[in-house]
Amino acid sequence: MTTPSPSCGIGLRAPHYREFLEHRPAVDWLEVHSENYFGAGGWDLHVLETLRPDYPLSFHGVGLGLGSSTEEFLAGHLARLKSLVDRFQPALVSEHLCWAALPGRHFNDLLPLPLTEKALERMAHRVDRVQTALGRTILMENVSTHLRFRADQMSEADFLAALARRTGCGVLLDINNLYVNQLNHGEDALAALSALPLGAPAEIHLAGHLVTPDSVIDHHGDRVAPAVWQLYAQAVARFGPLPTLIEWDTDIPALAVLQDEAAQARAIARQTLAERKPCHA
Amino acid sequence: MPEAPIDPLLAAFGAGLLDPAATPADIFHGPGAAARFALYRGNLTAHWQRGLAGAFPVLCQQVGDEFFRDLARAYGRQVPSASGDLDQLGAGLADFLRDFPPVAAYPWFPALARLEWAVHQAARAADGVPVRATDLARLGAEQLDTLSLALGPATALLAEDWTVARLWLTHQPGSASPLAAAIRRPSPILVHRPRWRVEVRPLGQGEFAALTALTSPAPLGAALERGLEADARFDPGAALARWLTDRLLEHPS
Repeated sequence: MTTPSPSCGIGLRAPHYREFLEHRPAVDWLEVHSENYFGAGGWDLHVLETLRPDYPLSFHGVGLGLGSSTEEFLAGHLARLKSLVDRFQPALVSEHLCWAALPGRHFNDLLPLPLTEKALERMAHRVDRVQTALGRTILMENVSTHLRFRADQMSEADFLAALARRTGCGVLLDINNLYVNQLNHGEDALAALSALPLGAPAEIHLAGHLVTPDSVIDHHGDRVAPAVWQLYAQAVARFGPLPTLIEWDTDIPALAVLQDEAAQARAIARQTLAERKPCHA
Repeated sequence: MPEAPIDPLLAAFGAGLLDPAATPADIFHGPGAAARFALYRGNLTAHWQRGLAGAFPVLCQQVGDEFFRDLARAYGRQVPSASGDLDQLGAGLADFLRDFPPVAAYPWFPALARLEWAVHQAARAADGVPVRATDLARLGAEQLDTLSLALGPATALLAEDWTVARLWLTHQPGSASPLAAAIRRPSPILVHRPRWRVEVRPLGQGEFAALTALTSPAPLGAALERGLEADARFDPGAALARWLTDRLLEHPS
């Protein structure tokens, strides 16, 4: 009998469109940034429509900024997302635990939230709003940050666990972000895994990071680091074989490199699950 | 611990993103907070630069990466982004360039920015349902004359005072020598997307007048008439054939 292994996807990026269209390379599933397909038509949507029968899709948003001080940008963005989700019926839809806008201005970035009860209330309210609009649950992703607020009242993992409990949303567990935050803030990444309830994480992200003198940057521009692979094995041991994505956004390499990283994720998960004691009720 | 309102923290964060002197280091843990906060400020400029470079690649080539970064920073600070979709960032760039002193010596930049924005919009516009030559072949001369037609959703007509279409074309991949500057001259331009690639074409005054009339909307016969009025050398038959080949025309919705 074979051990179950997670399906390993990669992020679909424009430099690889041609290869996907011509060869349909072996990849378990594809994740795209939702906003890259917000147009009414054109090449990107055409490519996605063409590949859709051959790959399960995941839509990963970078622009909702659900912790923001204002909702003025929310309705328009959500309407675009909804029409995309209705059209493609992706397997997964996700966003980030962050804020992005003040009244009158969007910052187009994933900015760190104060981890407070007030922020949790707001985030829960907005996640509800998104889930109601889309008619489905979404996944919320832990982010890497360079800074933590003095006002913080809980860890990010506790915040996410509470958010999942209140809204029924899933968690997109970014292992690299946990590790980056461990380096940047001295937070215990393993403790973060333990703080998340079994069943909450529904997808895993893996990516490379860059160590600089001031801070560790989650730049998605390198292979997954050895310590992040180790942490990935711990996550698989705790949560089981979750759909796992190799993310690469800067200096995008040949597709074969991404496929190689995905194969490594599959191998590590398989080995971890084989070593894990069978657990039957 | 008492509940801290979060919006003042976010407002302080945002102020620091726009002005280094307003860095709110004291709301964060750690002695290195100011240096770390600067990373977010750098990211913001990088996002602006990336968002604008995607929509204005020729402008970026004209000024070079370093100048373009400074331009993106100045624009981003002055003209607030109004969407979580970074592709919308450049909507105000042409107007901004008109009043941006560092580019005063390049008076064609606003026209170039309008052209590139039209190209960017056309790339993402709806796919459209073009009228085919065979659709028109069935019609008699009188029906053709009174036929109402529209331009497809991925189409734009520009009337610029600088030869920015020629400039744009010489900056496309495969072009031998990019022009350094545009010339001041009335320059009607067509931007359209026959399938997936956006095309830019300098127009004669006749063809521009005819296409503009078509969108006014005038029936086909009257529109072609307007083309001839604008330029006696305008060839209505050749123009119509090209519009059909280029998948430019649609039935009005």
